[in-house]
Amino acid sequence: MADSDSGVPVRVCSVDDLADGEAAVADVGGVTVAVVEFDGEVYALENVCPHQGGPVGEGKVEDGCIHCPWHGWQFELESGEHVHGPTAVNTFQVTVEDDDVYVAV
Amino acid sequence: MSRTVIDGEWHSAESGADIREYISDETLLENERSGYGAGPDEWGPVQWDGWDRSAGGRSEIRIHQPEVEGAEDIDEVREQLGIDTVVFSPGQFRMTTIPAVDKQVAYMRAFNDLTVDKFARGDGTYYAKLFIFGDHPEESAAEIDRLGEEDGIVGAMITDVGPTFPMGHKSYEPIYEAAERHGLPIILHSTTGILPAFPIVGYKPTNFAEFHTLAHTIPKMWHANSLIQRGIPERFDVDFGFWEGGLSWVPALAERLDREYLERSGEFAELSKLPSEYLSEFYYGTQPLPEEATTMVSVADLIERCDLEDQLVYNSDRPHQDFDAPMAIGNIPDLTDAQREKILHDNAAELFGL
Repeated sequence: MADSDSGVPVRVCSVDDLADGEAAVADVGGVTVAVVEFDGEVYALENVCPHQGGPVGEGKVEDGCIHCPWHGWQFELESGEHVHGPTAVNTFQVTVEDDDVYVAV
Repeated sequence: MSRTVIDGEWHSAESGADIREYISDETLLENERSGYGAGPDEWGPVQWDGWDRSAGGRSEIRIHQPEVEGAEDIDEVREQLGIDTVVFSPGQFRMTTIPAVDKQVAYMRAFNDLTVDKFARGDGTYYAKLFIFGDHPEESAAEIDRLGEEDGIVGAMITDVGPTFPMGHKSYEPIYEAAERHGLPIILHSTTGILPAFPIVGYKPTNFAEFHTLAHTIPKMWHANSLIQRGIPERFDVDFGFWEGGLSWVPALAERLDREYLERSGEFAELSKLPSEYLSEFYYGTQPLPEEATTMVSVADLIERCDLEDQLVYNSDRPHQDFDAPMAIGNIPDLTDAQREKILHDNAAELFGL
């Protein structure tokens, strides 16, 4: 678990940990966060789908979106918004310093 | 939240080949082991339909799970989801796709022996339904008699796409008599079916979405209409459960049924009440629940208008791609705590005698 005061960046993983397309999942200040890389950018979003609580971070990433593996709900990595519906998954600020990925919740 | 959550449907995960190994006739067993070289061994005679349920791998679908060799192998996922008790449904319920009619009964029996051996525990956690074949009613009734009192067997499931006749037809009466003898409910569950015309396949859907939107619901209306018009609920003390068709078709059918009844009641069997009132006595699986965004559908309103408070049973439909977690029941707007408790526990306990 990576403890965090609200808004304080916490190291979650290294960039290399994301190289194979897998998400890094960590508890940051009581929030389960999934960190994924797409097209050279790193994104952090809450690893709980607003639909039925599925592990969003375990889903397929493509075209700037991630698909929750439970029911395929498609969220934009940048905004967290569902591509076709009026809902969103929470996203968090990411900073990369050297090879380390930090997330603030 | 419910004191315990009962899931009225979790599919076992056997392959066609797993079922084959329970065939009791040695000659047939050897024949079946040696056959089917044109497809993967695990298929056996159960045809695959070619539909991609995963939307290109974007959602999980694992109908055959080799690692699930018995009920306890789902312990971890079940506990993660917060489900206490499971009533298994057959996994390879597409048995109606077995093209060799003379082998269907042998596979039905093998399937039920597998279910009793691996999934029907009767231990407070794991129960199961038998599989019965609509086009083999005498043999299906014999299966209910053979295994209906086994520990953990609490119902019988019929694949409702595949039978030649709707379920009010007189050919099904041996099944209803057997179910009545053993106090087992009959659960209707659809599949992708291989019939050339009904309900959907022959009408050429463009893709799985176009097919799956209607594939479960239309057979439910076909059978419920027939059961009521032929007076089956008046003649047999058997509970019927309609799984995986959603709920909104119930008032749609009620509207048409009552209209026809009041115009031409002489064409109906002897009924003691309006046809729509029988719909309020059937049981319905909750899965798939309407999405929150579908504002024209209100489960709370359906429960009230259709008098279904004691008839809805939580179904997860694991491990299929469109499953509902128990939290989906918690998310339904405008239900009382008592109604959620009935959906998650009480109604299943009543239906299955748990």
